[in-house]
Amino acid sequence: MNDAFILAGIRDVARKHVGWEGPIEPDMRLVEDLSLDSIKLLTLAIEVENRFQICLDPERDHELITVRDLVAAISHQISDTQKPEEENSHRDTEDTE
Amino acid sequence: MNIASVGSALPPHFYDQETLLAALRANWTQRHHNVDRLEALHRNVLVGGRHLALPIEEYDNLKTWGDSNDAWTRVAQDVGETAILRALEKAGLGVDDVDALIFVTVTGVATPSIDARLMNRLHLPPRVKRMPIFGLGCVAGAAGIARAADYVRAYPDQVAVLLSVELCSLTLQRQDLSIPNLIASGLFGDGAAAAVVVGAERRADGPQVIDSRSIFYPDSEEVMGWDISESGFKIVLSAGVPEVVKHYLGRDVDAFLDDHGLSRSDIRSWVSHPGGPKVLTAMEEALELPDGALDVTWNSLRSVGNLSSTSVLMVLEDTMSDHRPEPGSLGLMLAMGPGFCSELVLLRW
Repeated sequence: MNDAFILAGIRDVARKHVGWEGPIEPDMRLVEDLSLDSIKLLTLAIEVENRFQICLDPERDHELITVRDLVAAISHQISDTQKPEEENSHRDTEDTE
Repeated sequence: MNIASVGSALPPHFYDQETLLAALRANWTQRHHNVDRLEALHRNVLVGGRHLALPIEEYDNLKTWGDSNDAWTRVAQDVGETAILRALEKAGLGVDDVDALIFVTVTGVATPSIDARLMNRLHLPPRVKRMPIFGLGCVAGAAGIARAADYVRAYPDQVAVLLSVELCSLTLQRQDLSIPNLIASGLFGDGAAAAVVVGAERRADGPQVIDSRSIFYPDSEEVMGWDISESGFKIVLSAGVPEVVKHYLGRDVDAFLDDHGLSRSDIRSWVSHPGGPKVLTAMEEALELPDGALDVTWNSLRSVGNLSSTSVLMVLEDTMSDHRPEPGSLGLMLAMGPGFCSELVLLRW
């Protein structure tokens, strides 16, 4: 899943769940530029978790300053989620061989 | 004029937060992927448990707003009756002594209003002037005391009873899995409290109401409130409440006290609506309160949750019974609510 796809997902979530109608670019700041208060930030985090079927680390929410940070966190979690499956898939192949 | 007494009544169905979490969790998993985050959100409100209007298994039977409101009308009378009788007994008064009955709520609607139904159940005198007030929300406990004091200021030989009933659990929209509703489902509980306020010509042991002040914050309607949907009250909750506290409460308290030649350091006891942890922390910072100043309020939040307008009256009841300030010392009762607005009540113990 590439960053452009993730960014498109964030745009869709922001429009549907926090009422953001404007453009969303990677350099934009979540609080200052997207006008997200703490409840809207939480809503955005939870809804991207739902969309991408991942669990972000709530302890690291404060590190999400820009849209780019959020894209990176989602990308990282997706990679982590897929790793065990890939490893299993690789092992299965070896077993078959 | 004085607050002669406060009595409260909680529904008998108490559940700790973990039991409530378990009941809500199944609903959350229908839509949310990271349920652990939602559980953490519930634990962060620091509420240990809550009393509910109904046994928890009965909430599944509430299919419509009508069902919920019917339950509200029934239970509101039960807890309201008990709260009034307890308050009157503490004040050494009977139902025949009541001249005015102010009823505040934001969690259900009834016509005849609950105060009218209690006229019959309690056999209150037919002359009682009834004032049902809907919609003030959390501020209504402090605002109700202020309006009751206004009443007995006009009729110094009379007795006004303020009744607050809030059955927040009956407003919960279980199909609404938005974050404000999830926060509300972790924070708000059910209960009732009544305060007896008497005019200057009557004797009373409780604190004297010296003055009160209402403060309305223009163009802040979106901070908190209800949207009305086919299924009932849908909560509107923004992160703006702590911000309002930080920006305005210190200024407004100072202006109110200054009109009496006082400052914050003259206030020995603080009787506050709990809101939630962020609101209370913002209040402590904005008012630069000494350690422990809001302990009674924090304990109320931990014990039973936020009971909207009922909470500040229960904090007052606890203060009067278990943490009574020095005679002659000054206290400030305060609450905030939808509008957005504040109510301040200056007390002399």
